[in-house]
Amino acid sequence: MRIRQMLPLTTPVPGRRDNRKTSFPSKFAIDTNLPPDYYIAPFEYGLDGLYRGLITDIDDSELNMSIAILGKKIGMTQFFDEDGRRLPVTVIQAGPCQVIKVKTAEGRDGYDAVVLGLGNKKEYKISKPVLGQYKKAGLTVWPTTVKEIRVTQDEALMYPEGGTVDVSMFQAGEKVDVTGTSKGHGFAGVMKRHGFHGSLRSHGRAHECHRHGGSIGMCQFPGRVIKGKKMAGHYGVDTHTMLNLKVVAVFPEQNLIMVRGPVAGATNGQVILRKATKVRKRKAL
Amino acid sequence: MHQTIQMLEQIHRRGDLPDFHPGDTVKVFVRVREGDKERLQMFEGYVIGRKGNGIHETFTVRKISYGIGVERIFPVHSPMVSRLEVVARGRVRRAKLNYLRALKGKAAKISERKTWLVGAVSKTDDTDSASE
Repeated sequence: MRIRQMLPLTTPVPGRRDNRKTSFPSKFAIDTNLPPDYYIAPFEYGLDGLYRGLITDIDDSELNMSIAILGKKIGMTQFFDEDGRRLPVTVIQAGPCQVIKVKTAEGRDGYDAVVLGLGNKKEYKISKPVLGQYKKAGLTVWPTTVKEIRVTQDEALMYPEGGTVDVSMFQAGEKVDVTGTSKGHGFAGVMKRHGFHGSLRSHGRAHECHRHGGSIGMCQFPGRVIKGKKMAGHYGVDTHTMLNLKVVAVFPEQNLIMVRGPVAGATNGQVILRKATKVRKRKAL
Repeated sequence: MHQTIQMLEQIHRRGDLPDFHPGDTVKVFVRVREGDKERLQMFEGYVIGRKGNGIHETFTVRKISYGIGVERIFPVHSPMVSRLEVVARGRVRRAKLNYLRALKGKAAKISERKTWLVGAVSKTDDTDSASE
């Protein structure tokens, strides 16, 4: 990541505000004379409590590198953005990830993917066949978690096999999808699992049906319960992907990334950060 | 709390605000952005409570504006709060002064605490001209 131009905080800079439904004049008003790639003007924060500057000019090749990385959820806090608004943010410790394997459609795997590893595992805890794979890939640190992520061919070829990728591939201001595993709730009733309202606490509803779901169907016709009827059952421990979370800040030295909003899963849960796949396209100006 | 989060919260933590408590009369200078320009807007009233801790802490200021009670909630560590001045220390026996909402006129007045009235005016952290 390069900061081309250091600007004081009050200098107006074209920013990515296209999806923002604001009517008041903004210091981030879009200058239509500039090429579309120019509109990304993320902030970078320094841990010394000062704004390090604005990134006004980003190399395209660097931007395209933001693809996918593994991380660990640290927790949530709040962060003030450049307009002084309080943002709820999730802190994720992402990377550095070892690139164990790059699979391509042309190769013997027949599809495009990258295999990433995270963490540092002791050698005696790894079985010999697995260790052989790591050594073949040219790794020097053995990962604790390994995950294969499907990417496009162009993206796959940007990963250095045997090398590492870190959080600096992401830029503040861009959007990412974060996949996590939600907290387990065990066997949960319909109120907790599906948000049913239950029934009255009083007025004669005394026969232990306060948290029941009510009727589950009709009569002799259709004579069965319709498929997909919401009932009690196991809740949680599902894979959930939060789409289009904005990257609020990136701290490459600490391997930390902040995304706006919550992320599924408990603290210390494993998450996957990916470049947003369903980005709303820019409206014609 | 996670050590990393504590570290990250230091980024926006500020130590330049004076010591203030519920019952105090304060002047809060808020940054207001109008287009490209920025000016300071003053909000003066009683602090009727502080809530939360750490970077999440907020305080509520209540004033009577043209006969109508107005309350604003400010994050203590918000960069939008340019500076804060303590005008008077109040003598109160509650941490949350929500009872003031039901009172009017003289009854809604907080008597001043005469002791430990130290010079509590904060230093301005920026050189913007304050429109007072």
